[in-house]
Amino acid sequence: MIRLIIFDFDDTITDNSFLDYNAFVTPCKQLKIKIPQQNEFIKLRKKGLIAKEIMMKILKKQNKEDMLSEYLELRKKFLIKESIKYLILKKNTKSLLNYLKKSSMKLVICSANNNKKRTIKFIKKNNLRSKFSNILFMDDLNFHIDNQQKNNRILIKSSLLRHIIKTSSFKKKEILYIGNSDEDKTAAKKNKIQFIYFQNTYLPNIKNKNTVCSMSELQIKIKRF
Amino acid sequence: MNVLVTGSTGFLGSYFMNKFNKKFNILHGLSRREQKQKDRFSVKLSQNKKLEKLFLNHKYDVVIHLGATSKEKTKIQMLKENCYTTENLLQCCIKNNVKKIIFASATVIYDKAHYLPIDEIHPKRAKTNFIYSKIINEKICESYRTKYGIEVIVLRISSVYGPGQLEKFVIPTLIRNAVKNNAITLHKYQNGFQLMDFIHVDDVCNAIMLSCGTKINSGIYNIASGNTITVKQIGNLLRNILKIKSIIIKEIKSETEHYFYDISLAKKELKFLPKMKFNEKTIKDIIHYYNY
Repeated sequence: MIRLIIFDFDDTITDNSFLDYNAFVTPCKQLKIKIPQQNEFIKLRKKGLIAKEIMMKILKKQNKEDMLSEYLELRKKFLIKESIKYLILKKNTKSLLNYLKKSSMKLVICSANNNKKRTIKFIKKNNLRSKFSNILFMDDLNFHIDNQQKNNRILIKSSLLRHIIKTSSFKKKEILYIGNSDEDKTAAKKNKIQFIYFQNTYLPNIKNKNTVCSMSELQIKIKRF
Repeated sequence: MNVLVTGSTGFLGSYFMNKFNKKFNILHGLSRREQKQKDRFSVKLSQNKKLEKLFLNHKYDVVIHLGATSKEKTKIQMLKENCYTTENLLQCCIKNNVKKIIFASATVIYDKAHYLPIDEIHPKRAKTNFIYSKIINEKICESYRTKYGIEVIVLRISSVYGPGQLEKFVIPTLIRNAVKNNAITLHKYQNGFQLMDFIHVDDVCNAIMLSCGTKINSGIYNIASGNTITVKQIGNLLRNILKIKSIIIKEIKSETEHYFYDISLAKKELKFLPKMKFNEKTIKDIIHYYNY
Protein backbone atom coordinates (compact mmCIF):
# COMPACT_ATOMS: atom_id res chain seq x y z
CA MET A 1 0.00 0.00 0.00
CA ILE A 2 1.26 3.45 -0.91
CA ARG A 3 1.79 5.76 2.07
CA LEU A 4 4.09 8.42 0.70
CA ILE A 5 3.70 10.13 -2.68
CA ILE A 6 6.46 12.29 -4.09
CA PHE A 7 5.43 14.72 -6.82
CA ASP A 8 7.71 16.32 -9.30
CA PHE A 9 6.79 19.99 -9.69
CA ASP A 10 7.31 21.41 -13.18
CA ASP A 11 4.93 19.87 -15.70
CA THR A 12 3.60 17.36 -13.21
CA ILE A 13 1.62 19.57 -10.86
CA THR A 14 1.85 22.54 -13.18
CA ASP A 15 1.16 22.98 -16.86
CA ASN A 16 4.31 24.59 -18.20
CA SER A 17 3.51 24.70 -21.91
CA PHE A 18 2.37 28.35 -21.87
CA LEU A 19 5.39 29.39 -19.81
CA ASP A 20 7.74 27.30 -21.92
CA TYR A 21 6.74 28.95 -25.18
CA ASN A 22 6.77 32.46 -23.72
CA ALA A 23 10.17 31.91 -22.11
CA PHE A 24 11.40 30.82 -25.52
CA VAL A 25 9.86 33.65 -27.50
CA THR A 26 10.34 36.72 -25.28
CA PRO A 27 14.17 36.80 -25.44
CA CYS A 28 13.90 36.18 -29.20
CA LYS A 29 11.85 39.35 -29.56
CA GLN A 30 14.38 41.29 -27.51
CA LEU A 31 17.26 40.04 -29.66
CA LYS A 32 15.33 40.30 -32.93
CA ILE A 33 15.65 36.62 -33.73
CA LYS A 34 13.05 35.16 -36.11
CA ILE A 35 10.92 32.83 -34.03
CA PRO A 36 9.08 29.62 -34.93
CA GLN A 37 5.31 29.23 -34.67
CA GLN A 38 4.00 27.58 -31.51
CA ASN A 39 3.06 24.42 -33.45
CA GLU A 40 6.55 24.12 -34.86
CA PHE A 41 8.04 24.69 -31.41
CA ILE A 42 5.80 21.97 -29.93
CA LYS A 43 6.84 19.61 -32.74
CA LEU A 44 10.50 20.07 -31.86
CA ARG A 45 9.76 19.67 -28.15
CA LYS A 46 7.92 16.44 -28.94
CA LYS A 47 11.12 15.19 -30.51
CA GLY A 48 12.66 15.53 -27.05
CA LEU A 49 14.75 18.67 -27.71
CA ILE A 50 15.28 21.15 -24.89
CA ALA A 51 14.92 24.92 -25.43
CA LYS A 52 18.69 25.39 -25.76
CA GLU A 53 18.92 22.78 -28.52
CA ILE A 54 15.98 24.28 -30.42
CA MET A 55 17.51 27.74 -30.23
CA MET A 56 20.86 26.39 -31.43
CA LYS A 57 19.11 25.03 -34.53
CA ILE A 58 17.32 28.32 -35.20
CA LEU A 59 20.45 30.42 -34.72
CA LYS A 60 22.42 28.14 -37.00
CA LYS A 61 19.87 28.67 -39.78
CA GLN A 62 20.06 32.42 -39.29
CA ASN A 63 23.88 32.48 -38.94
CA LYS A 64 23.60 34.03 -35.50
CA GLU A 65 25.23 31.27 -33.44
CA ASP A 66 27.22 33.76 -31.37
CA MET A 67 23.99 35.05 -29.84
CA LEU A 68 23.29 31.83 -27.96
CA SER A 69 24.86 32.78 -24.63
CA GLU A 70 23.13 36.19 -24.68
CA TYR A 71 19.84 34.48 -25.49
CA LEU A 72 20.24 31.95 -22.67
CA GLU A 73 21.04 34.72 -20.22
CA LEU A 74 17.87 36.60 -21.15
CA ARG A 75 15.82 33.41 -20.96
CA LYS A 76 17.20 32.70 -17.50
CA LYS A 77 16.27 36.23 -16.39
CA PHE A 78 12.78 35.79 -17.80
CA LEU A 79 12.31 32.48 -16.00
CA ILE A 80 13.42 34.00 -12.69
CA LYS A 81 11.37 37.19 -12.91
CA GLU A 82 8.33 36.50 -15.05
CA SER A 83 7.61 32.80 -14.91
CA ILE A 84 5.08 32.97 -12.06
CA LYS A 85 2.70 34.88 -14.38
CA TYR A 86 2.66 32.12 -16.96
CA LEU A 87 2.60 29.08 -14.71
CA ILE A 88 -0.76 27.25 -14.52
CA LEU A 89 -1.94 24.59 -12.09
CA LYS A 90 -2.99 21.40 -13.88
CA LYS A 91 -6.71 20.65 -14.01
CA ASN A 92 -8.17 18.70 -11.05
CA THR A 93 -4.91 18.92 -9.09
CA LYS A 94 -6.61 20.28 -5.99
CA SER A 95 -9.30 17.60 -5.93
CA LEU A 96 -6.66 14.88 -6.32
CA LEU A 97 -4.57 16.32 -3.49
CA ASN A 98 -7.65 16.57 -1.28
CA TYR A 99 -8.49 12.96 -2.00
CA LEU A 100 -4.94 11.80 -1.20
CA LYS A 101 -4.89 13.84 1.99
CA LYS A 102 -8.18 12.28 3.08
CA SER A 103 -6.71 8.85 2.41
CA SER A 104 -3.98 9.77 4.97
CA MET A 105 -1.18 9.71 2.47
CA LYS A 106 1.88 11.82 3.05
CA LEU A 107 2.65 14.14 0.14
CA VAL A 108 5.98 15.66 -0.80
CA ILE A 109 7.16 17.86 -3.68
CA CYS A 110 10.65 17.33 -5.05
CA SER A 111 12.04 19.53 -7.78
CA ALA A 112 15.37 19.74 -9.55
CA ASN A 113 14.79 23.35 -10.53
CA ASN A 114 16.80 26.04 -8.81
CA ASN A 115 14.02 28.63 -8.72
CA LYS A 116 12.85 27.88 -5.21
CA LYS A 117 11.34 31.33 -4.62
CA ARG A 118 9.12 31.09 -7.67
CA THR A 119 7.91 27.61 -6.79
CA ILE A 120 7.10 28.53 -3.18
CA LYS A 121 5.28 31.64 -4.41
CA PHE A 122 3.22 29.54 -6.80
CA ILE A 123 2.35 27.00 -4.12
CA LYS A 124 1.24 29.75 -1.74
CA LYS A 125 -0.72 31.51 -4.46
CA ASN A 126 -2.68 28.31 -5.11
CA ASN A 127 -3.16 27.46 -1.42
CA LEU A 128 -1.31 24.17 -1.74
CA ARG A 129 1.21 24.50 1.10
CA SER A 130 -0.96 22.69 3.66
CA LYS A 131 -1.31 19.69 1.36
CA PHE A 132 2.40 18.89 1.37
CA SER A 133 4.42 17.86 4.38
CA ASN A 134 7.68 18.79 2.71
CA ILE A 135 8.97 20.60 -0.37
CA LEU A 136 12.50 19.85 -1.50
CA PHE A 137 14.62 21.63 -4.09
CA MET A 138 18.09 21.37 -5.53
CA ASP A 139 19.05 24.21 -3.16
CA ASP A 140 18.35 21.87 -0.23
CA LEU A 141 21.13 19.53 -1.30
CA ASN A 142 24.58 20.50 -0.15
CA PHE A 143 26.07 20.41 -3.59
CA HIS A 144 25.51 22.39 -6.72
CA ILE A 145 25.87 21.19 -10.29
CA ASP A 146 24.62 22.39 -13.63
CA ASN A 147 21.04 21.12 -13.96
CA GLN A 148 20.94 21.60 -17.74
CA GLN A 149 22.77 18.30 -18.32
CA LYS A 150 20.66 15.15 -18.46
CA ASN A 151 22.96 13.05 -16.28
CA ASN A 152 23.24 15.82 -13.72
CA ARG A 153 19.46 16.12 -13.60
CA ILE A 154 19.22 12.37 -12.89
CA LEU A 155 21.79 12.76 -10.13
CA ILE A 156 19.94 15.71 -8.57
CA LYS A 157 16.57 13.94 -8.70
CA SER A 158 18.03 10.72 -7.44
CA SER A 159 19.75 12.48 -4.54
CA LEU A 160 16.55 14.31 -3.59
CA LEU A 161 14.59 11.03 -3.63
CA ARG A 162 17.32 9.37 -1.59
CA HIS A 163 17.10 12.18 0.97
CA ILE A 164 13.32 11.81 1.23
CA ILE A 165 13.51 8.01 1.57
CA LYS A 166 16.20 8.24 4.25
CA THR A 167 14.39 10.84 6.32
CA SER A 168 10.98 9.18 6.07
CA SER A 169 9.88 6.19 8.08
CA PHE A 170 8.35 4.38 5.11
CA LYS A 171 9.56 1.31 3.30
CA LYS A 172 10.55 1.68 -0.34
CA LYS A 173 7.53 -0.29 -1.54
CA GLU A 174 5.26 2.22 0.24
CA ILE A 175 6.68 5.14 -1.71
CA LEU A 176 5.45 6.32 -5.11
CA TYR A 177 7.07 8.95 -7.28
CA ILE A 178 5.16 10.84 -9.94
CA GLY A 179 7.27 12.52 -12.58
CA ASN A 180 7.18 13.58 -16.18
CA SER A 181 10.52 12.66 -17.71
CA ASP A 182 12.90 9.82 -18.37
CA GLU A 183 15.26 11.36 -15.83
CA ASP A 184 12.54 11.05 -13.17
CA LYS A 185 11.96 7.44 -14.17
CA THR A 186 15.68 6.60 -13.95
CA ALA A 187 15.95 8.33 -10.58
CA ALA A 188 13.01 6.29 -9.25
CA LYS A 189 14.56 3.10 -10.61
CA LYS A 190 17.91 3.86 -8.99
CA ASN A 191 16.16 4.33 -5.66
CA LYS A 192 14.00 1.25 -6.19
CA ILE A 193 10.70 3.02 -5.65
CA GLN A 194 7.52 2.84 -7.74
CA PHE A 195 6.94 5.36 -10.50
CA ILE A 196 4.08 6.82 -12.50
CA TYR A 197 4.86 8.67 -15.70
CA PHE A 198 2.77 11.83 -16.15
CA GLN A 199 2.51 12.33 -19.90
CA ASN A 200 3.23 15.86 -21.08
CA THR A 201 1.30 17.67 -23.75
CA TYR A 202 4.41 18.30 -25.80
CA LEU A 203 6.81 15.53 -24.90
CA PRO A 204 7.10 12.30 -26.92
CA ASN A 205 4.22 9.88 -26.35
CA ILE A 206 5.12 6.94 -24.15
CA LYS A 207 3.14 3.76 -24.15
CA ASN A 208 3.49 2.25 -20.74
CA LYS A 209 1.06 0.75 -18.26
CA ASN A 210 2.22 3.26 -15.68
CA THR A 211 1.63 6.34 -17.84
CA VAL A 212 -1.17 8.80 -17.17
CA CYS A 213 -2.34 11.90 -19.02
CA SER A 214 -4.57 13.62 -16.47
CA MET A 215 -5.09 14.03 -12.75
CA SER A 216 -8.28 11.94 -12.82
CA GLU A 217 -6.39 9.11 -14.52
CA LEU A 218 -3.67 9.48 -11.92
CA GLN A 219 -6.24 9.15 -9.12
CA ILE A 220 -7.51 5.87 -10.57
CA LYS A 221 -3.96 4.60 -10.96
CA ILE A 222 -3.03 5.40 -7.35
CA LYS A 223 -6.17 3.63 -6.12
CA ARG A 224 -4.98 0.47 -7.86
CA PHE A 225 -1.58 0.42 -6.17
CA MET B 1 46.99 -1.67 23.71
CA ASN B 2 49.39 -3.46 21.33
CA VAL B 3 48.91 -2.46 17.73
CA LEU B 4 50.36 -3.64 14.45
CA VAL B 5 50.13 -1.51 11.31
CA THR B 6 50.63 -3.07 7.89
CA GLY B 7 51.75 -0.82 5.05
CA SER B 8 53.73 1.29 7.48
CA THR B 9 55.96 2.80 4.79
CA GLY B 10 52.98 4.03 2.79
CA PHE B 11 51.57 7.55 2.88
CA LEU B 12 48.87 6.74 5.42
CA GLY B 13 50.84 4.17 7.43
CA SER B 14 53.89 6.35 7.98
CA TYR B 15 51.76 9.36 8.95
CA PHE B 16 49.82 7.23 11.45
CA MET B 17 52.99 5.74 12.95
CA ASN B 18 54.55 9.18 13.41
CA LYS B 19 51.43 10.75 14.82
CA PHE B 20 50.44 8.08 17.32
CA ASN B 21 53.72 6.37 18.25
CA LYS B 22 53.35 7.36 21.90
CA LYS B 23 49.66 6.58 22.25
CA PHE B 24 49.96 2.78 22.45
CA ASN B 25 51.95 0.33 24.61
CA ILE B 26 53.32 -1.18 21.43
CA LEU B 27 52.96 0.27 17.94
CA HIS B 28 54.70 -1.83 15.34
CA GLY B 29 54.88 -1.22 11.62
CA LEU B 30 55.05 -3.83 8.94
CA SER B 31 56.06 -3.36 5.34
CA ARG B 32 57.47 -5.28 2.42
CA ARG B 33 60.00 -2.47 2.00
CA GLU B 34 63.14 -2.13 4.09
CA GLN B 35 62.77 -0.25 7.35
CA LYS B 36 65.46 0.89 9.73
CA GLN B 37 63.54 1.87 12.85
CA LYS B 38 63.37 -0.57 15.78
CA ASP B 39 59.60 -0.76 15.91
CA ARG B 40 59.23 -1.46 12.19
CA PHE B 41 59.67 -4.80 10.47
CA SER B 42 60.34 -5.74 6.88
CA VAL B 43 58.05 -8.71 6.47
CA LYS B 44 55.89 -9.57 3.49
CA LEU B 45 52.35 -10.56 4.37
CA SER B 46 52.81 -13.69 2.28
CA GLN B 47 55.70 -14.87 4.50
CA ASN B 48 53.67 -17.04 6.87
CA LYS B 49 56.40 -18.15 9.23
CA LYS B 50 57.89 -14.70 9.76
CA LEU B 51 54.43 -13.29 10.27
CA GLU B 52 53.45 -15.93 12.82
CA LYS B 53 56.68 -15.44 14.74
CA LEU B 54 56.00 -11.73 14.95
CA PHE B 55 52.46 -12.33 16.21
CA LEU B 56 53.71 -14.87 18.77
CA ASN B 57 56.35 -12.53 20.17
CA HIS B 58 54.07 -9.55 20.53
CA LYS B 59 50.53 -10.07 21.72
CA TYR B 60 48.75 -7.67 19.41
CA ASP B 61 45.27 -6.51 20.35
CA VAL B 62 44.54 -4.60 17.19
CA VAL B 63 45.80 -4.94 13.62
CA ILE B 64 45.44 -2.00 11.25
CA HIS B 65 45.62 -3.35 7.73
CA LEU B 66 46.70 -0.52 5.42
CA GLY B 67 49.09 -2.48 3.20
CA ALA B 68 48.12 -3.03 -0.42
CA THR B 69 49.48 -2.83 -3.93
CA SER B 70 47.73 -0.03 -5.77
CA LYS B 71 49.62 -0.43 -9.04
CA GLU B 72 47.27 -2.04 -11.53
CA LYS B 73 48.15 -5.67 -12.37
CA THR B 74 46.30 -8.70 -13.69
CA LYS B 75 43.38 -9.96 -11.66
CA ILE B 76 45.27 -13.08 -10.52
CA GLN B 77 48.32 -11.08 -9.46
CA MET B 78 46.13 -8.58 -7.67
CA LEU B 79 44.32 -11.37 -5.80
CA LYS B 80 47.68 -12.86 -4.85
CA GLU B 81 49.20 -9.61 -3.67
CA ASN B 82 46.21 -8.01 -1.99
CA CYS B 83 43.73 -10.75 -1.05
CA TYR B 84 45.88 -13.79 -0.34
CA THR B 85 47.94 -11.57 1.98
CA THR B 86 44.83 -10.37 3.79
CA GLU B 87 43.74 -13.97 4.26
CA ASN B 88 47.18 -14.79 5.74
CA LEU B 89 47.07 -11.83 8.05
CA LEU B 90 43.58 -12.71 9.27
CA GLN B 91 44.58 -16.31 9.92
CA CYS B 92 47.47 -15.06 12.06
CA CYS B 93 45.06 -12.75 13.87
CA ILE B 94 42.69 -15.64 14.68
CA LYS B 95 45.51 -17.96 15.80
CA ASN B 96 46.93 -15.30 18.11
CA ASN B 97 43.67 -14.00 19.55
CA VAL B 98 43.79 -10.53 18.03
CA LYS B 99 40.60 -8.76 19.10
CA LYS B 100 40.12 -6.34 16.29
CA ILE B 101 41.17 -5.69 12.72
CA ILE B 102 40.77 -2.34 11.02
CA PHE B 103 40.79 -2.66 7.27
CA ALA B 104 41.45 0.33 5.03
CA SER B 105 39.18 0.00 2.04
CA ALA B 106 38.50 2.83 -0.40
CA THR B 107 35.50 4.78 -1.66
CA VAL B 108 36.57 3.99 -5.22
CA ILE B 109 34.72 0.70 -4.80
CA TYR B 110 31.43 2.56 -5.33
CA ASP B 111 29.82 2.62 -8.73
CA LYS B 112 29.28 5.92 -10.54
CA ALA B 113 27.06 7.98 -8.19
CA HIS B 114 23.46 6.83 -8.28
CA TYR B 115 22.75 9.59 -5.75
CA LEU B 116 24.73 12.06 -3.68
CA PRO B 117 26.08 11.95 -1.06
CA ILE B 118 27.14 8.33 -1.53
CA ASP B 119 26.40 6.28 1.57
CA GLU B 120 27.66 2.87 2.69
CA ILE B 121 24.86 0.94 0.97
CA HIS B 122 25.44 2.54 -2.44
CA PRO B 123 25.99 -0.05 -5.23
CA LYS B 124 29.61 -1.04 -5.84
CA ARG B 125 31.44 -1.85 -9.06
CA ALA B 126 34.87 -3.31 -9.69
CA LYS B 127 36.09 -0.90 -12.37
CA THR B 128 39.71 -2.01 -12.02
CA ASN B 129 41.50 -5.05 -10.64
CA PHE B 130 42.69 -3.00 -7.67
CA ILE B 131 39.07 -2.11 -6.81
CA TYR B 132 38.12 -5.74 -7.34
CA SER B 133 40.72 -6.77 -4.77
CA LYS B 134 39.42 -4.19 -2.29
CA ILE B 135 35.87 -5.54 -2.64
CA ILE B 136 37.11 -9.13 -2.17
CA ASN B 137 39.13 -8.05 0.87
CA GLU B 138 36.03 -6.58 2.46
CA LYS B 139 34.26 -9.90 1.88
CA ILE B 140 37.17 -11.83 3.40
CA CYS B 141 37.08 -9.62 6.50
CA GLU B 142 33.31 -10.07 6.75
CA SER B 143 33.61 -13.86 6.50
CA TYR B 144 36.21 -13.94 9.32
CA ARG B 145 33.95 -11.79 11.44
CA THR B 146 30.99 -14.13 11.04
CA LYS B 147 33.02 -17.34 11.31
CA TYR B 148 35.44 -16.47 14.13
CA GLY B 149 33.84 -13.48 15.78
CA ILE B 150 36.81 -11.18 15.32
CA GLU B 151 35.84 -7.50 15.42
CA VAL B 152 36.16 -5.95 11.98
CA ILE B 153 35.99 -2.25 11.21
CA VAL B 154 36.12 -1.40 7.51
CA LEU B 155 36.98 2.18 6.67
CA ARG B 156 36.18 3.24 3.12
CA ILE B 157 38.56 6.11 2.70
CA SER B 158 38.03 8.87 0.15
CA SER B 159 40.78 10.66 -1.84
CA VAL B 160 43.44 11.50 0.72
CA TYR B 161 45.79 14.48 0.48
CA GLY B 162 48.45 15.96 2.69
CA PRO B 163 52.20 16.21 3.15
CA GLY B 164 53.94 12.96 2.25
CA GLN B 165 51.68 11.92 -0.61
CA LEU B 166 53.30 10.71 -3.82
CA GLU B 167 53.66 13.52 -6.32
CA LYS B 168 51.65 11.74 -9.02
CA PHE B 169 48.32 12.42 -7.27
CA VAL B 170 45.91 15.25 -8.15
CA ILE B 171 46.64 17.79 -5.43
CA PRO B 172 50.48 17.61 -5.53
CA THR B 173 50.34 17.68 -9.35
CA LEU B 174 48.17 20.82 -9.37
CA ILE B 175 50.38 22.52 -6.80
CA ARG B 176 53.60 21.56 -8.59
CA ASN B 177 52.30 22.89 -11.91
CA ALA B 178 51.12 26.06 -10.24
CA VAL B 179 54.50 26.69 -8.58
CA LYS B 180 56.75 25.69 -11.46
CA ASN B 181 54.81 26.92 -14.50
CA ASN B 182 52.92 29.78 -12.90
CA ALA B 183 49.83 28.41 -14.62
CA ILE B 184 47.34 25.63 -14.11
CA THR B 185 45.02 23.83 -16.44
CA LEU B 186 41.59 22.89 -15.16
CA HIS B 187 39.24 20.50 -16.88
CA LYS B 188 35.66 21.50 -17.42
CA TYR B 189 33.40 18.68 -18.56
CA GLN B 190 30.08 18.89 -20.37
CA ASN B 191 28.32 18.49 -17.04
CA GLY B 192 30.49 21.09 -15.31
CA PHE B 193 33.50 20.97 -13.04
CA GLN B 194 33.87 17.68 -11.23
CA LEU B 195 32.57 17.55 -7.65
CA MET B 196 35.10 15.80 -5.43
CA ASP B 197 35.63 14.94 -1.79
CA PHE B 198 39.17 15.19 -0.45
CA ILE B 199 40.15 14.30 3.08
CA HIS B 200 43.32 15.32 4.88
CA VAL B 201 45.60 12.48 5.98
CA ASP B 202 45.45 13.78 9.55
CA ASP B 203 41.67 13.28 9.66
CA VAL B 204 42.00 9.75 8.24
CA CYS B 205 44.53 8.89 10.96
CA ASN B 206 42.12 10.26 13.58
CA ALA B 207 39.39 8.02 12.15
CA ILE B 208 41.69 4.98 12.43
CA MET B 209 42.52 5.96 16.01
CA LEU B 210 38.82 6.29 16.85
CA SER B 211 38.21 2.85 15.30
CA CYS B 212 40.89 1.37 17.59
CA GLY B 213 39.18 2.69 20.69
CA THR B 214 35.53 2.32 19.76
CA LYS B 215 33.24 -0.03 21.63
CA ILE B 216 31.39 -0.77 18.39
CA ASN B 217 32.16 -4.35 17.43
CA SER B 218 31.99 -4.13 13.69
CA GLY B 219 30.95 -1.81 10.94
CA ILE B 220 31.62 -0.28 7.57
CA TYR B 221 32.14 3.47 7.44
CA ASN B 222 32.81 6.12 4.84
CA ILE B 223 35.76 8.25 5.86
CA ALA B 224 35.67 11.47 3.90
CA SER B 225 35.30 15.19 4.47
CA GLY B 226 31.58 15.05 3.67
CA ASN B 227 32.02 18.31 1.74
CA THR B 228 32.29 18.99 -1.94
CA ILE B 229 35.09 20.79 -3.67
CA THR B 230 35.55 21.41 -7.38
CA VAL B 231 38.79 21.71 -9.34
CA LYS B 232 37.78 25.32 -10.01
CA GLN B 233 37.66 26.05 -6.27
CA ILE B 234 41.09 24.45 -5.85
CA GLY B 235 42.35 26.54 -8.77
CA ASN B 236 41.02 29.74 -7.22
CA LEU B 237 42.67 28.89 -3.89
CA LEU B 238 46.00 28.29 -5.63
CA ARG B 239 45.65 31.54 -7.55
CA ASN B 240 45.18 33.47 -4.30
CA ILE B 241 48.10 31.81 -2.54
CA LEU B 242 50.61 31.59 -5.34
CA LYS B 243 49.49 34.64 -7.33
CA ILE B 244 49.23 32.55 -10.49
CA LYS B 245 48.93 34.56 -13.67
CA SER B 246 46.77 32.25 -15.70
CA ILE B 247 44.21 29.55 -15.15
CA ILE B 248 43.50 27.70 -18.38
CA ILE B 249 40.13 26.04 -18.57
CA LYS B 250 40.12 23.11 -20.95
CA GLU B 251 36.68 22.03 -22.14
CA ILE B 252 36.36 18.24 -22.23
CA LYS B 253 33.70 16.76 -24.49
CA SER B 254 32.79 13.87 -22.22
CA GLU B 255 30.94 13.87 -18.93
CA THR B 256 32.64 13.45 -15.57
CA GLU B 257 31.58 11.53 -12.48
CA HIS B 258 30.67 13.62 -9.46
CA TYR B 259 31.27 12.16 -6.05
CA PHE B 260 31.13 13.00 -2.38
CA TYR B 261 30.32 10.85 0.59
CA ASP B 262 27.86 10.56 3.42
CA ILE B 263 29.83 10.33 6.66
CA SER B 264 26.88 10.48 9.05
CA LEU B 265 27.34 6.86 10.16
CA ALA B 266 31.01 7.41 11.06
CA LYS B 267 30.02 10.62 12.84
CA LYS B 268 27.36 8.82 14.83
CA GLU B 269 29.11 5.57 15.71
CA LEU B 270 32.82 6.43 15.68
CA LYS B 271 32.32 10.08 16.74
CA PHE B 272 34.43 10.98 13.74
CA LEU B 273 34.58 14.66 12.85
CA PRO B 274 36.90 15.87 10.08
CA LYS B 275 38.79 18.91 11.36
CA MET B 276 41.12 19.80 8.52
CA LYS B 277 39.75 22.01 5.79
CA PHE B 278 41.09 22.39 2.30
CA ASN B 279 42.33 25.94 2.70
CA GLU B 280 45.40 28.15 2.38
CA LYS B 281 47.07 26.63 5.45
CA THR B 282 46.86 23.02 4.24
CA ILE B 283 48.10 24.00 0.78
CA LYS B 284 51.02 25.94 2.28
CA ASP B 285 51.91 22.85 4.37
CA ILE B 286 52.06 20.74 1.21
CA ILE B 287 54.16 23.34 -0.64
CA HIS B 288 56.52 23.47 2.34
CA TYR B 289 56.78 19.66 2.48
CA TYR B 290 57.75 19.25 -1.16
CA ASN B 291 60.00 22.28 -0.93
CA TYR B 292 58.69 23.75 -4.19
